[in-house]
Amino acid sequence: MPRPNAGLLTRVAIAVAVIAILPWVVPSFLVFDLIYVAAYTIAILGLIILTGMNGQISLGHGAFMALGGYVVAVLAHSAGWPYWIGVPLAAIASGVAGLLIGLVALRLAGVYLALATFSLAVATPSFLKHYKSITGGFDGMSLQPVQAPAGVPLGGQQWLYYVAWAVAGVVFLLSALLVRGQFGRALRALRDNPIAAVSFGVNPYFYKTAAFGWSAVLAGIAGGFYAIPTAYVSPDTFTFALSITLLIGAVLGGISTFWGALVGGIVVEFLPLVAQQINAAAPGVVYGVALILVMMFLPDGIVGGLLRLTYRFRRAPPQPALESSTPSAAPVTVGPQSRE
Amino acid sequence: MTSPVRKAAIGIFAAAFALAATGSTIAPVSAADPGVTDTEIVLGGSHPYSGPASGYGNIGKGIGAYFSYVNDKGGVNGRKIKYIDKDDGYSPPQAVQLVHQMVEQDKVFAIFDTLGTAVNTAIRPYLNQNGVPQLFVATGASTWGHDYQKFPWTIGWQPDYQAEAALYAHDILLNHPKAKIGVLYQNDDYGEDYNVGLKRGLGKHQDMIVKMASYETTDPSVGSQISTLKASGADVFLIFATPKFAIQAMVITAQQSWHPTIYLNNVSGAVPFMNAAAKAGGLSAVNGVISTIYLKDPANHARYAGDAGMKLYNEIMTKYLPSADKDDGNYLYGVSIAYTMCDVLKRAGKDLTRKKVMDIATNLVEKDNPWAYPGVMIRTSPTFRYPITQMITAKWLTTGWSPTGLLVDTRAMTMAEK
Amino acid sequence: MPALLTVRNLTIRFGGITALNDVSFDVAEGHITGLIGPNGAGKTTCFNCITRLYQPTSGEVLFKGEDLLRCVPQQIAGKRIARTFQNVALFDHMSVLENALVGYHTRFPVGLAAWGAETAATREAMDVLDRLGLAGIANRPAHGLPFGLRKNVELARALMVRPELLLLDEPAAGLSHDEVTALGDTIKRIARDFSTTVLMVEHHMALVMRISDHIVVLASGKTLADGPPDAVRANPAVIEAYLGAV
Repeated sequence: MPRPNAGLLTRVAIAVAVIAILPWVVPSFLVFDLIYVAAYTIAILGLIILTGMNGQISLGHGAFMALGGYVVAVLAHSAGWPYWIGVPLAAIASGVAGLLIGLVALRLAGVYLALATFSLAVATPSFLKHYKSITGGFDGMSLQPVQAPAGVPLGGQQWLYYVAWAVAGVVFLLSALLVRGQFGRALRALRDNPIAAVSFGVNPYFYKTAAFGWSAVLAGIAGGFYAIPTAYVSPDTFTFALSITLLIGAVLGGISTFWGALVGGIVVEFLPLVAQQINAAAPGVVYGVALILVMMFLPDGIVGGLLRLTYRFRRAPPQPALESSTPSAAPVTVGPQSRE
Repeated sequence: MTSPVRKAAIGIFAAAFALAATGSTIAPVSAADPGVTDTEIVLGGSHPYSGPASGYGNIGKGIGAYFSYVNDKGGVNGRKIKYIDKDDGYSPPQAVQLVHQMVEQDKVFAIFDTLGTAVNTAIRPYLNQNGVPQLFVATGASTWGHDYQKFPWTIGWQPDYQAEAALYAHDILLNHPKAKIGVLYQNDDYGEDYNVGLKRGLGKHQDMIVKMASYETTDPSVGSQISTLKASGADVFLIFATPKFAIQAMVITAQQSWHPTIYLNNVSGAVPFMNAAAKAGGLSAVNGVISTIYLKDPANHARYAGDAGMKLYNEIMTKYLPSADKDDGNYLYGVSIAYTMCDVLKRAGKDLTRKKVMDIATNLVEKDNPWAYPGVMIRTSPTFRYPITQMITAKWLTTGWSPTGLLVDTRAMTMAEK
Repeated sequence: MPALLTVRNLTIRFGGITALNDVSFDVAEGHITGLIGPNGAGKTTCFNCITRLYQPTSGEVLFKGEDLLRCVPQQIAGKRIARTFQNVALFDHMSVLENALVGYHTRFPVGLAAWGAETAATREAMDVLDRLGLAGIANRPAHGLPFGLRKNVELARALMVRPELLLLDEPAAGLSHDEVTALGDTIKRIARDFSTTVLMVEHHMALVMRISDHIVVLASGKTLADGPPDAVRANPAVIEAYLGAV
C-alpha cells in the first residue's frame, strides 16, 4: 500500500526547510519572484492532476487563473474585501467553472479537448475587456499591496511569500490525500485504459469532471496569488500565453509526479529571466532551445530525469510513493514481451 | 526527523548563509540615491521583445543605439549611461517582477520608457511607493498626465490619444462641417480613449457621428464592420485601430468602392504600414488619408534630405544598428525619447538625485529635440504633465506624409478637460 | 442447475453487418461454460453486449433475472460481473498491485470511509496476487511485464471484483503449451476457490474440452450447438464449421 515512506518524508522536510529559510537569505526581489513560483506551482499541480494523472489535456488553465485573479481583484477593488476572503471565493468560483467546463470536456478527447480549452484561453482577454463595468476593462484594476498583520515582524512581501507557500503546502497535502487510494487510481485507470476502467466500475463522468473541477480550484487559487503580488490585474495579465506557460511547466517539471509542479513552477518563473541574462537580444531563442533540450533528453521531465539518475546511482528501483504513477520514472523492464 | 533530514537541513542552512554573505557584499554602499556613481548612471526599462506587441521592441533598440552614441561622446556630465532593458513580453506581472529586480538588485536610478498602458499601470504603484522615477512611459493613455497627484513619480511623453482624436474633430469641423462620421474602433480602453477625445472635440456636434463600429483584437477581419459603416451613409471615416486592423480597414474600404475621407490614428500611420496597405489595396486605398505627426518621418527621404537631425539619426543607426530598417519610425521614436532622457539628466547636473530629475522632468521646455517635427516642443509644468501636445495633420500622398495646415497645440483642449 | 446468465434472442448489427443473429444460451451457476466458434463468429461481441460496451439491436441479457441491458457499462462490475480482454487491457503506467486494486473499485465504501478500506483492500489484493504468483512483482509497473504475467494481472484484477460471473476472453491466447496446461488448472481452481461461474471465449479446443462443463458454439453470428463437451465434439455441424479442427 502506498504509504508515505521515509524517503518521501525526507524530501518533503527538505522542501519545507528550504522554503522557510529562503526569504532570510536571498535578495528581496527574489523573494518577490518566489511568490510567483508558488502561484505557478499551485496551478501546475492542478494540471498534473488533470493531464498527468487523468489524461485530459488543457491548454486553457490560464482562463481559470484569470477567473481566480479577477474574483480576488473585483472583491478587493469594488467591495474592499480582504484577500483572505477573496482567495477562497476565487477557488470556489473557479472550481464551479471547472466543473461546468469539465462536463463539456466529457464529450471531447485528446487534441479536440486541447483546442476547445485553448479557445477558452484565447477568448478570456476579450471577455474581460467586454464586461468593463465589472472588470475595469482594458485598464484593469489596481490593488492594495499586502501588509503583514499587526504584530507579525515581517515585511508585506515576506508575509505574502509565507502565506502563498503555506497555501501551496495545504493544497499539496489535500491533493495528495485526494489522489492517494481509490480516487487517484480511478483517475489514472481512466487515463491508461478508459474501457477497462469503466468495465471495473469506474464512472468516467464523475472522475473526469471531478479532476477538472479540482484542477480549476487550484488554478483559481493560483490566479489569486498571481494577482496579489502584481497588485494589478488586466486582460494582458491573463493572455493565452499563460495557459501555454502552465502546460510547459507541467511537462518540463514532470507531468507524472507532484514534484514536477514545484520544479515546473521554478522553471517557468526563472527560465525566461535566465534566458535574458544569457542572450538579451533573443531570449525567446534561448528559452525555446532550453525547452527542446529538456524534451529531447528528459522526456519525462526534470523530476523524471532526476529519479532516473538516482535510480542508476542507487541501483534500486524507486519505491512507489507519490511517484507510483510515474510512467517512466521507474525504468524497470523485465525483458521483451514474449508471445511464444 | 530522520538523520538524513537533519543533515540536509544543516547543509541548506550553511549554503543559504554563504549565499547571503556573498549577496550582501555585492550591494553597493552609498548614501546618495541608487544607480549613480561618479562614472555611471543606471537606468532600467522593459519592452515587448516577445509576445503580441513585439513590433514595438524596436523602440527599445533605438534607445539603446542613442545611449551608445552618447556614451561614445563621453556620456552625460561625465557619466556613462547603462541602460538595463528587459523583455516583458507585454505582460504586466512579468514587468512588475522585472522592475522589482531592477530596483532592488540592479539598483537602477530610474525606470525609463517602459511600454504599454497595462504594463505601466501595473508598475506605477510600486515605483511611486519607492520614490523611483518612472520617466517618459511609451503609451498615449491620458492617465499619465491626468493622475500626477496620486503618482508624482510618473510622467508620459507622447501626445495622448484623447488629444489626438480631439484634433481630428477639430479638423473635421473646419474642413467638413456637414460630414456624416463613421468610426471604427478597437473595443477596449485604447479605442475608448479616442472616442472620448473625438466626442469632446465635436462638442455639441456629436450628432455628426452616424455610426460607430467596434472590433475585437481576436476578430479575423473587420470586413463586416466596414460594410455596416458604408451602409450608414458615412462620408468621413475615422479609424482608431492598431496597425493590423488599420491596414485591413483601408484595404477593404477601397475594395468595397467606398470613398470616404479617412482619418487614421497616428500609431497605425508608420510608413511600413501605409506601404503594406497600398500594396494590398492599391494606391487609392491610402492616398488622401489624413493622420497626425509629431516626430519627423524617417521614411520621407525627400523632405528631410538636408535635415541635420535626420542626418544624425542615419549616422547613429548606421553605426549602432547597422542591420535595422531605418525607415521604421519606432527606431526614431526610441532615439528621440532617449534624447529627452539625456537632456533631463544633463540639466540635472553633476549632483544627481531622483527628486531633482523629477523636478527637471516636470519643469521642462525642450525646443531642440532633433527628431521632433519642426516646431514641436516638449513642455511640462508640475501641474501639466503632457510633454508633447503639438501635432500637425498630414495627408498621405503616394510615398509619405505631407503636413497640411498648421501645427496645432492641443494643450488648451487638454487643460480645458481637466 | 439454475441459469445465472440468460442470453435470449440477442441480435446486433453494425451498419449492414449482422454480428449476432438471434443468439440464445444459458450459463448455469457454478459451471465453466465455453463459448467457442471460428474467428468472426461473434464471441467477443457477445461479451461486449453482456458488459454493455455494445448496445444490441434487440434481445435480452438477464443476470439473476435482472435485465442487464438497462445498465450502463460502469454498473456491470457492481453486479459482480468481471471480465478480461482479448488484447489484455491493463493500466500500463500503474503497478501490478494498483491494477488489482482497481478491481476492488466498486467494493469500496462510499465517501471518506473508502480510506479506511484501503488496508483491507490491499491485503485482499496481495492475497489474490499471491495465488496467481504475482506477489513478488506487486510494485512493478504493468507495462514492462512479459505477456503471460500480464494476463495473470488481468485475471487478478477481475478476481478482485469477487465476481459471481467471470468472463474470460481468450485466456490461453499467446501462451506456451505448458502455460496453457497450467492455465486450465488455474481456471478450475479459481472457479472453485472464488465460487464463481465462468464464461470463457477460447480457441484452444483442448483446453475448452478439458475444463468446460458446458459448451456453446457460435458460427457466423448464430448459435450452432449447445451442450456438454462430448455432445458438442460429436456434433457434425460443429465439425463442419471447424473443418475438422477439433
